[in-house]
Amino acid sequence: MKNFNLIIYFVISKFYGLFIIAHCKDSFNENLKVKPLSHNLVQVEFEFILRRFFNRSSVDIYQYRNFDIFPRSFAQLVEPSNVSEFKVSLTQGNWRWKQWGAPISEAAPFGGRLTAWFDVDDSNLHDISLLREEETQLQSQWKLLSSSLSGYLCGSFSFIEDQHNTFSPSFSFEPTGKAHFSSEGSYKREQLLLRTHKSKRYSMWLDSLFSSSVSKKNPCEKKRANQKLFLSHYPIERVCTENLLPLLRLLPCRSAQGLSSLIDPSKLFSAKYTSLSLFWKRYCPYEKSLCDVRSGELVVTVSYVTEREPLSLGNSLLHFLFKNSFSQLDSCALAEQSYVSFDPDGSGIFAITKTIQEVKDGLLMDENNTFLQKEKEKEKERKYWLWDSKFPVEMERRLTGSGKQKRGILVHLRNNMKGNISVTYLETLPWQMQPFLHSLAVTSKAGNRENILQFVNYIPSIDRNRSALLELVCVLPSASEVTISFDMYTKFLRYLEYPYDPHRGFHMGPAALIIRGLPAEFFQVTNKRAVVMYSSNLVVLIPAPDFSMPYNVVSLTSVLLTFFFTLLTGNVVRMWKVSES
Amino acid sequence: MSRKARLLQAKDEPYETRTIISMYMLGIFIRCWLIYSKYQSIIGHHVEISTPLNSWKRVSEGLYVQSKGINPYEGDLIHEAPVILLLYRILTQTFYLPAEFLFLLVDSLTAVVLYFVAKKYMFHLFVFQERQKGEYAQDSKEFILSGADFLNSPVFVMAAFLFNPYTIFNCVGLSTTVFHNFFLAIFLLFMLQGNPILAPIALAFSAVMSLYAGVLISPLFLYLYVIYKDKVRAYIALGVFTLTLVALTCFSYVLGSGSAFLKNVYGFILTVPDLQPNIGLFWYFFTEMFDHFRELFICSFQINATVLYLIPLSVKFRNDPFLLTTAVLFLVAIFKSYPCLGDIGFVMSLFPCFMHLFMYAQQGFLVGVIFLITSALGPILWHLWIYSNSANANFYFGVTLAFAIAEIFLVTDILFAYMKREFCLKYGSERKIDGKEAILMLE
Repeated sequence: MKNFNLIIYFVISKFYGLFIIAHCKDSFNENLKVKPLSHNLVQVEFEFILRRFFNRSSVDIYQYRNFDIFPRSFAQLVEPSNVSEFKVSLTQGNWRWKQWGAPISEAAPFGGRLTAWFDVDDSNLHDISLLREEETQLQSQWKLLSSSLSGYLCGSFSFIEDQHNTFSPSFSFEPTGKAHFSSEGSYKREQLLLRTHKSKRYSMWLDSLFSSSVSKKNPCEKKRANQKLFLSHYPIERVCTENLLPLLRLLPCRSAQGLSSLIDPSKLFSAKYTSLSLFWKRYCPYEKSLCDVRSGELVVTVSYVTEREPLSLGNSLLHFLFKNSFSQLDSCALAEQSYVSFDPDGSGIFAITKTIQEVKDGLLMDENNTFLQKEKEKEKERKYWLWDSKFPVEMERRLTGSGKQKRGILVHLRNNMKGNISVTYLETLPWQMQPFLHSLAVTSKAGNRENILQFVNYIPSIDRNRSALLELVCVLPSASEVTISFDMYTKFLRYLEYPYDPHRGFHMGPAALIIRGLPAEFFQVTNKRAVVMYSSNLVVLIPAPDFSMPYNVVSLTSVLLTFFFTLLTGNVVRMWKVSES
Repeated sequence: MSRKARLLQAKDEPYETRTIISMYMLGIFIRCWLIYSKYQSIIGHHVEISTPLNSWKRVSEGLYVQSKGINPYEGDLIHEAPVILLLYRILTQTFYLPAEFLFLLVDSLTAVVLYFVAKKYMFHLFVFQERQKGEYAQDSKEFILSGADFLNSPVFVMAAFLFNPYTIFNCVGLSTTVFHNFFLAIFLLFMLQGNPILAPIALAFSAVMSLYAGVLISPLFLYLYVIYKDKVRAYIALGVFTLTLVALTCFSYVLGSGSAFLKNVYGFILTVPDLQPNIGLFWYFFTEMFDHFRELFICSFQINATVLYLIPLSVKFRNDPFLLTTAVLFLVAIFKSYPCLGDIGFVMSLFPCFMHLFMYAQQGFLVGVIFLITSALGPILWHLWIYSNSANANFYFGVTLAFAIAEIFLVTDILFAYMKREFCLKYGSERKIDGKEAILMLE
């Protein structure tokens, strides 16, 4: 009897399972995008999109354990930290906006960068103790995510152990998923949390003493969803093959079939700009109530800029880029769609999109013959450095100051367009540098500080605990240049806190310029809401002591103190006496 | 004529008031000229003059950040007490005094106060001497101070304060040690007047600015107990000091910065987290030390700077608490965690009060030469390390050590000289045992 029940249950669940599998599908799409740039360069981007969808109303309790195309290891990495959206990128080389224009999708900064969005509850803003609890939990989730990714991608993300490398800007970035985000709520949260460097118990006791302005949360208050961003950057992270292989392992066909077989590590890592990135977000193709939170989309991007033969386009370009592997190209059987997209005139619009089979059949060549003709004509008209439609905003960041102690940052922002552009400048300064906010100068020939600088969000740094964050919400006046500068003094560190080669210098991460005020056509192509430009990293010479001297210093100083002690004690204890010589 | 007789004959008439006033104006003029010249920023950025505790750049950053609604004690920027920060805010924003004018004003006031301090001390010396005349030996009459000495020392004290390059640079470099020295000068004035209420209040203000000034409660207590022979006043002074300290700390709490200032101000002075080079001994020692031993050495250094020498010296020099004050101030200036030239300059300007001890001091030349050389060499080696990238930190550390040696020689010499003079006053200058020549030694 018991066995019969079990059998019935088994059959029914399997039946339901079959029903669900028809709905809940993992999918895999792959794209290859090629965009020629100026100076005989071409940007190649491989984009692999893996999707996983769960039907919340299904009764199959095993569905979360079934992995079809979506990689199981990745899901097991992401689920414990309960992250809503994250992006990790490993980049080598700087994207040159002035020469190359806008990238295909996004230009990542040099080094390793990890950004993650977590769900938070804005109704906690009324109660500081709940806020702090939430923050502690978020930080442990963040650390879990970063250390898991560190092991997964063979990258050094576990340096994010202490909070002094993590930033939470409020006005710079927005989550791309469907989650609700309010920058005012985020700003208020960060301001309320500013006293987190004290011990939790002590600060909670203090709050209870001075709690006239702080009230307890009303239990009936509804949850107000918001998102919190954690951002961390490691400027000296190097990218190599051992970072690429884990990414390729995520793909269902690995690098055996499909577009991933075209990726050649030797060519990839000798390129002018190489970027590997993983982007995960919660994704729901249907109505939100149908999806489980574990449904999501993973985008693996491999992007690089390399040289090409002059004026080669179409199939000849692809042959040049991929040589041997191109002839053996076969589409991945598990992929829903496999496209090769081509942007013939570098305008950002991928006018030509063909499947792999069509490309192999040479259809790209036929289409491109006419384009090739047009391009050759255009080339005679224009100078080659005007190939691409120029990106209207330029950013350059420099280190100022002489000597190793008194430094400063100088940023030139140039707006080449007619019309004001609203931007946000994000500067993340390590705690080893002390910025001076009263020296912040925003100058321009086309306006004064009140017109240009609208809001300043400054979170001061705490030694060995937290780094400084400076967000400037500005409006760049049309066709003008804005100069931002501030003083920054280097600090003198302890013996073990210096970087491994202290005479090389200290690496500072890039500044980000988030441009939201561009005309609509710039955003139609990339389907984003903002364009993010990153400056290059800075290497700051820091004053270092002589590291061979610990014993000498200790003994010399002790000698001095002992000498004084002896002199003084001698005077105090002994009496003057006349004695025979 | 013997050397001693010539010295005594040097200045028999007091300086005229006209001379004093013109000397004062000259001192103010030098400061004025330097502070409004292009050298001000160069001087102000030297680490010998501006430390993380007294840099005016940090104070102005703290005031700016406070005006934007950010708690200035949130980061590790400002290390001034909230009460003092409030004072700066009132002075600069409510009265709209420019910073340079403010520093000039306070420094000139300090010079005037020091004049009266020295005058009062000379009066006390005179009274003490008259009282003790009976006990002095016969041939020690030439060591006793005369009228002219009493009247000229205050002038020398004021001149030493006005024309000492250390105090000039301290004022010109806009370091808030100027305010600390002012509070100390006020404290000395009230201590010498025997005021049990105002002296501890002034001392509490100095202690709130820099923790180390609190050790001066011992000479204050001794002064009221021994010199004024008033036990009640002494204990009142103690009580007022403690009460004022507590009141100021509570007031700092109430000022709205919470308790973050405790870690930033007093925790900073005591635990020395910032290792910016200065003329002290802490920075390189703790730069080169491993974290394992840090707490041990912090404790031992802080004990060394405060209480270790205070108790023996208080016992030994209880009859001359002003000398004790000077000695303790000097020791604090040498061994505190973030010393600067302003501390040293202030104490050096008190030395002309003890002109009667100079003839017993043996190492004046050595000390003077070392001071001269290290003061010139320090900035050069700093430039070589930080700007030219050729020397390294050891050079600057060596100069710091030499400077400390000079200071140590100076203070021990003065104390030795005091003991020697006491002996000579009591037993005369004849050094004979049973008719044979003998020497004076310490046993």
